Amino acid sequence: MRWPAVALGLTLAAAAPTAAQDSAAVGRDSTAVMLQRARDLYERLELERALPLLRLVVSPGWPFAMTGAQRVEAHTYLGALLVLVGQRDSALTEFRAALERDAFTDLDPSQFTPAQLAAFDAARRLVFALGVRPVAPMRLDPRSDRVAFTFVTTHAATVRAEIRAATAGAAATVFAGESERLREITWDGVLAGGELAPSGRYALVVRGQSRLLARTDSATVYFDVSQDAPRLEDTLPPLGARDLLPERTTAAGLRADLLKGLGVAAGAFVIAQVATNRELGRPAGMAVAMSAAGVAAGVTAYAGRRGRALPENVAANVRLRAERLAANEAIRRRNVERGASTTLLITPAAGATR
Amino acid sequence: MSRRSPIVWCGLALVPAIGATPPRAPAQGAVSGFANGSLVEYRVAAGAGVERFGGPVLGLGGAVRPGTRLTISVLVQGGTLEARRAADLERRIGEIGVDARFSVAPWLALAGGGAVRAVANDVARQRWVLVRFGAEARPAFMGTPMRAVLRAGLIPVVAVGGLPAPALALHAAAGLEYSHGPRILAASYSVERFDFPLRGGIRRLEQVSALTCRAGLRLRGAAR
Repeated sequence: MRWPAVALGLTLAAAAPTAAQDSAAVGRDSTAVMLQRARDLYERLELERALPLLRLVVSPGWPFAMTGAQRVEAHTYLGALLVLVGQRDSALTEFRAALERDAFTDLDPSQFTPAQLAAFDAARRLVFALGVRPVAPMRLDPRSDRVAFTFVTTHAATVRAEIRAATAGAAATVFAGESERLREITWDGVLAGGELAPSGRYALVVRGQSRLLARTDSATVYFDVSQDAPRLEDTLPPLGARDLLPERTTAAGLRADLLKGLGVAAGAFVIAQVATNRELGRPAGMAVAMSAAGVAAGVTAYAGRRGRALPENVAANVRLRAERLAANEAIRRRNVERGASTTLLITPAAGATR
Repeated sequence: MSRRSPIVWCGLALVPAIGATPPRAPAQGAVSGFANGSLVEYRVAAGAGVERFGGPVLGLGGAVRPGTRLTISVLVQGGTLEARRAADLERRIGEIGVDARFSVAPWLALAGGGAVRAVANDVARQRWVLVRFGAEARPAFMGTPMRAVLRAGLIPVVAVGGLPAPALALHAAAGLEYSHGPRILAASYSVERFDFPLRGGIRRLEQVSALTCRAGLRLRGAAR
């Protein structure tokens, strides 16, 4: 283990942060420096020098923090390097380790040899892993847009992808069938019931059953949906007793009518007695006639009408109810039109799992 | 001049007849026409005792309601009032009046208007210009197309040829209105009182009382 020790020493010397600083960032930087150095050596075909560096990085004894991507890169380069040095089985093991950690791992055909690509493909067939890319933020107009999800399987598999509300069960199946490697699926924001996805947290859950191995895998990414809808109008409240006219005469109403008639009679009397000039005499006949008419109207309105239906009021109430119904129907129509222009704000959420 | 002398050559605007607007507030854009028939008594005291004149006055009018609250009406009426005493000359009276009513509540309105009135006998002619305003209560009877009407107000502008402005001028009316479908019927008792100031030791008093019946038709728009 002379080379790794030397490499580690060089790396530590080259890296600005020292091991004593022991922070995660420093660790990641140290790992990055080491990986960069290994890549440089690999590209200069100094394989014997690159190999121990990569082995050191993926070893349990590596003391520095390392991201998942860095670990996948280390395994991938280590596998590629092992192919070049003729250790194919070991290479497959490293490729499998990379694929198990990240099913999206791939080799660029322009940068790797056919032997490396073939070994990588072989590793793909030996491991079954499934991965889903995080959702990209977007504004989705359900009438014209689709939100795209990308998932990958290492080899052929039967896959089912569902959008689920975080608080409920299955909401919409966006893919079900055979898939191999990369696949893009889309979702229009509509749930299985045909309704637009309400605001909330959702998950894309992808489950796969390998066609080659007796293995299954699943992956989940979470995202938030926020409806951006125009403000809707409130419908008119139900009509209360105060809004409607009485449909039958009431004792109080009849008494009021009697008083109105008597009020006319009294008014005519008062006009004749008070508003006229005493020196000119009282025009009593006219006032008496009008008073009599007022009394007759009041008494007629009062007598014999108790509990009687009031067709005009019934008709007026029917009109009022119909007007309210029509107004509410118009409001509902307008709300539906406004609802149709609702857009969904899609944002990634923490919590992706495999 | 014969006392039987005919007819109504001009109008008499004795009363801003009840319902210078239609009995029930018509719906928006409503137009109505009506005919008035009044039994009028005109009393005058001008230093020679109380002169009394009486007779029928007929008139025609129309009302429009351009908005939801405002009603404007025009009335032209006239008639011949016969003197109760043989020594007095009959009077011919004619008037054209315009009134506006603004509803401030379903049962209450503010009313105002003006009229030009001509009063004549065989030897003289007098022109009256009146501007009046007041308030009108119009409560409806439950479940019927009937309304009670009580109105009172002042006549702050009274310009009479050869006379000073009266010290007191007021008007008041009480009546009933019935509006069913396009039909409009109304009856009212109304009084106009003019107390002129003392002049040459004589205090002139005039008073017009009327019992008016009105029949009309709503030509367009619905009652409300």
